Amino acid sequence: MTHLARTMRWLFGLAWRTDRGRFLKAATLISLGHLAVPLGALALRAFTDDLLDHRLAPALLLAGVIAAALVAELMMGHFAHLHYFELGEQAEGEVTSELMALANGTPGIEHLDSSEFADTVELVREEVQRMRAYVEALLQIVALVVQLAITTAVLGSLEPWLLLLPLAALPPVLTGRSAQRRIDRSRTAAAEQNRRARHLLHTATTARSAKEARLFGTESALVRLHDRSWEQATGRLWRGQLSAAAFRALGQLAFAAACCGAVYLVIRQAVRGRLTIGDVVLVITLAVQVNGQVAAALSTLSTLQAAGHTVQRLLGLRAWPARQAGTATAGGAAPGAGPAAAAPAGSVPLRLSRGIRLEGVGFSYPGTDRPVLRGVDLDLPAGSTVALVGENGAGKSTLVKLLCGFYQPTSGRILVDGVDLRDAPPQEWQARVSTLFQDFARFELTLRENVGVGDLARIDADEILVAALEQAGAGPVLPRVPGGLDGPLGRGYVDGAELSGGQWQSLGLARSALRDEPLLLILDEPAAALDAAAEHRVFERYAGSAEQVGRHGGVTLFVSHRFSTVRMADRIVVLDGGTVAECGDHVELVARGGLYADLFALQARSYS
Amino acid sequence: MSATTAELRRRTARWLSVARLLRHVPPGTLAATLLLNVLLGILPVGFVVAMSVLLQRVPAAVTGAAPHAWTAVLTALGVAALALALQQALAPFQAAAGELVMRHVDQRCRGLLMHAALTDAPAMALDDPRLLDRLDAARTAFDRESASPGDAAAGALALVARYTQLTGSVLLVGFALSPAAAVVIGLTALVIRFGQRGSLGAFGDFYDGITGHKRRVGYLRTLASDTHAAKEIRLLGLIGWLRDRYARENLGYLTTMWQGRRRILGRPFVLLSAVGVAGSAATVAMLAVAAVDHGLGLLELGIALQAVLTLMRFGVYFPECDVQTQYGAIAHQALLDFRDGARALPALTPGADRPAAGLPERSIRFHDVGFRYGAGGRAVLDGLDLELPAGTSTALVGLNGAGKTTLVKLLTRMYDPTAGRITVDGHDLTDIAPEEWHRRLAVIFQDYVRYELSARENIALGAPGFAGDEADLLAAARRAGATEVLAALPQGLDTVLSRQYRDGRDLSGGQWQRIGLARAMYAVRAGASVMVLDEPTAQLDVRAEVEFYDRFLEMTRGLTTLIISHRFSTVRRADQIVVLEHGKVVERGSHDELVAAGGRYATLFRLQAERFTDQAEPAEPDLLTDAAS
Repeated sequence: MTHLARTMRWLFGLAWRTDRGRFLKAATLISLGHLAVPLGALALRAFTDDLLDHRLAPALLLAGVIAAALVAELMMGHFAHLHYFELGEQAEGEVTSELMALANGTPGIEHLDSSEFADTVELVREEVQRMRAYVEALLQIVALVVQLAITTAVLGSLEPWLLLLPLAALPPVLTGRSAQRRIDRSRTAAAEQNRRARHLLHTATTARSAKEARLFGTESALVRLHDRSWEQATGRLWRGQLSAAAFRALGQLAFAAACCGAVYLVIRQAVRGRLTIGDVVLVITLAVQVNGQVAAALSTLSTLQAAGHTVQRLLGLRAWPARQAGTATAGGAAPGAGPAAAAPAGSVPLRLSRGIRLEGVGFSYPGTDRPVLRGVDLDLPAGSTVALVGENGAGKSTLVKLLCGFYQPTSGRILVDGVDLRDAPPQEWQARVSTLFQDFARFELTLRENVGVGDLARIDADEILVAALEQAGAGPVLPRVPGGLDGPLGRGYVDGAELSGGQWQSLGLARSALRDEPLLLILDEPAAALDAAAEHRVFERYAGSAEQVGRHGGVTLFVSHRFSTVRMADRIVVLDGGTVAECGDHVELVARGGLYADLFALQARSYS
Repeated sequence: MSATTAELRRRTARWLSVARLLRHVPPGTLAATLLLNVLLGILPVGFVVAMSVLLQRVPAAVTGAAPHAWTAVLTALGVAALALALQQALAPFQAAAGELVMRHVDQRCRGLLMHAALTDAPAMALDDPRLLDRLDAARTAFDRESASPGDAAAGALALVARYTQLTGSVLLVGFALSPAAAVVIGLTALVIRFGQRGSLGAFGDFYDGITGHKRRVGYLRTLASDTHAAKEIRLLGLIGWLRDRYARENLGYLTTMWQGRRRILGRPFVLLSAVGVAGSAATVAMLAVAAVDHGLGLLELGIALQAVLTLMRFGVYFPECDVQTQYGAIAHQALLDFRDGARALPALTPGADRPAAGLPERSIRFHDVGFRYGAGGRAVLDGLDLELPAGTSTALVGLNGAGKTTLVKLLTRMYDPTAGRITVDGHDLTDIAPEEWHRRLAVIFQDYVRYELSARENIALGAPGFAGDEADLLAAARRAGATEVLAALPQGLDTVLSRQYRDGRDLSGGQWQRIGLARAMYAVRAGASVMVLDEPTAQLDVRAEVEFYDRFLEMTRGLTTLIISHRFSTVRRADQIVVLEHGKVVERGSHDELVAAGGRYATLFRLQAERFTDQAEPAEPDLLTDAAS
């Protein structure tokens, strides 16, 4: 109950802050609509008694009241929703914007690696879209409670036993819940078959898979498998529905009995001359509605409960950094993620003179004991290019995350020209790192935005953007995008230009090239889907970017998955099991005959 | 006027098509559901009548004049109670029956869609964006993201209850008060109902019209709050910009929507409310006049009053019908549009029905083959001559867009050439029925299907018509190198290959690839002798790729093989290598011959090789520039 009060207070605060005018209008309209029900019934009673007493004039007046009450009952909720939907939609935008800041407003990404955080963000993002329903529930619960109270009071004034009528609405609610559980259970029991039926339907009707299905002549087999799963699911769902309906019927019967009992009590009083025919009419029309009112109030309560969960989750997300700081003894806390993070003392150099140095760097992901990196000592001299190689799981991507300042090492330190990254403001360092990851973001926005986000200050500088495109070999993309720089890209959300993997890649490079004189450039080897010539062009551009960065003393790090980039590097670092296994140039490493030589030979075999 | 007629015709057609869906429901289920809904419409009417009889009998009981008056009152109450109890007890079954109807109808419609995609439509239907859009609309409904055709059928049946009650109530007013009053209140109810329904429909259309805008807002919402772009957002310092961008886009969207909502759902409802007040006030006033001036009885008064209340409550949104019938009918229309649109596409060239068994014994040949998508399209293949000798392997090399994928589509007879011809042992490929020819093929695409089924079914779907036994499955698995994969599964062949299922297991990319290969090998076991491998290793890591090629010779032994790959490690093991450029064969020969020839193949090979060998010279720049254009 305290939860409920807290949720309602929170929702009210949000609604009031967002738009009190709309809130008040909606509240007024909803109240009118709900009050119209008992009011209409009272008018009906007076009307009936007037008619029986042959009083036409007041009856005609009451006819108007009855009509107005009927229409108010029918329409006021609708007019109210025009206001509170708008209110809810604004509030939704506010909360969503806050959610963005909570998820991606910190320099560290540690919280994003927690599946709990990620799941919660996703849940809240979905749930916040129900903000309209939450605001509706807040308004409605008040109106419904008042309505039910008045209805009960009116009924009770005729016959005190009728005060108990709302209780008779509880059996349908209880059996209704149990019925819903039965349905949920049957859905869970049928979920696997339904999922398979869905999978087979998609397989048969998606271009990519349908071509294979067609060639292997699998249609009748697929339909047979589909129907089998579907029918099994139907059987389970049907049994669930049947038993649920039987349960509901029991509850409804209990209420129907109570209603008829109420009518019985009232006509007994009427027969004794204590109540009028109008009173009987009142009870007949009003008693049946109690059921609906109680059910509506309870379902509104469950919406509020859901709103309460959303609020709890949101508050949990807000409190997350503090919670992390409290438990961050094992893993390195993301810099600046917690209020406890010390104020940075150092400053990132403008230009590298010595380079980047890792000293005894070790790292375990928060909440795990398994070290992903152990005692990594590494020198990345200013102006050099370094290739980072190793098999899947060797720790390459973790090392990159540390270098980007997404995490801090659990042990050891990273020095940039002697300045410990821990002592420098994380945003300042991140502003000097430029990257192109294998899974780089493809923004389905405009071409300008795709490149311009590399340096927001210059997003409107057309010549600079075009120059960056040219430099990254993305010059040919520009004329292909209808609308030029301001033309949208991608087909998922807008009707934009469709680009090939290689073209997206070149945009990514243009984006990373927009940043002036980065201290560290990290380039991931592109995915295998490029053809030989496209792949070659990428490497040429990489070499160009590396050279440019090196000229100002910046370090370029190639992350090499298939060894295609190792030859371009001054030095190769081989990671194995979280430590530096080998380090040197190509000739040295081949001569050593270690892991590098082994993996390289595996690749080279095909070309010898 | 003609616009109204057209609209009327459109609506009638939509309802007829929904009604026709009911043929998919077993007759017993259909009859029971109909009966249930008629009862649900009649019982409230019965309750009104019984309660009014009760009212009528009360005065007699008050005076105590008639000896059995109290009993008569109780009898009426008993009948009313019975009607109410039955109605309340039956109502929950409406949803259950609706669900059953929906499942029956959807099962058939889903089958229809699968059939349309795999058989009715020529393969090109799935390359046609217009048809794909329709297909997608139908499938989205089946994913329960919007109402499905089955929902429409169930919703239409539920409407029976509503309209039975409407009819009954109008008749009651006509009987108890006057036909004129019945007409007034009946019309009022219908005007409100259709006004409301029409507005909601219009708002639905308006809303559908701005989904593009909504999707964009949704994209920004997800982009800025989930993890996919987390790294870029931080390194580039984008969060503030993204929040602004979202706020701006969202405000634009909301402004548009609010205007539409107020326009469509605001003023018209004021008008409807006025009609409602006027109609119901008039009816109730007629009732008052009839009662006071013409001595209307208590029975009639009770009936008329309650019937008026019932009718006024008719003017609402019907949660069990409205969305279901509207969007379900749209989904059904999408399904029909896809099927009919696909059927209307040009079919494959008809020819003689030559048996395909044993083909090819000598070779498959492309004679001066040309192909363009659509009449005015670019020539993707142009004067292509190619021979695939039976029992040998051919590798196809070329830059993206050189026509490799199209060539596979022609070889597998998804499409027919627009110029030239393809022959198998001298017989025109169009003289062989496509299904016959498909049985000769074992194909593995880059994105082979990962069925969420057992390993057994995953392999057996390579040749569904082949009555192979377990030995055949295991032999296919062995040839594909999948024996170890199967051995590691807890229930062996019967393990479902997805963790989303009970006792299921997920496989790694390399493991899946072997299951996919086993499927192709099972087709070979069933008699296929032409193997097509389209970028089979694109998703594998270094070690898995090497292992794949070590098995290449063993797998393709005795088969006529065509392999497409960007990785030269693969290509060089083929008996014959063909370089495709601008839709033509520009080079042909073995690896050594082509490297020696120093042409395009040699250039591309060296591009990759120079990263791994010390001998290779850098590529000639002019050749590359040309290739890039």
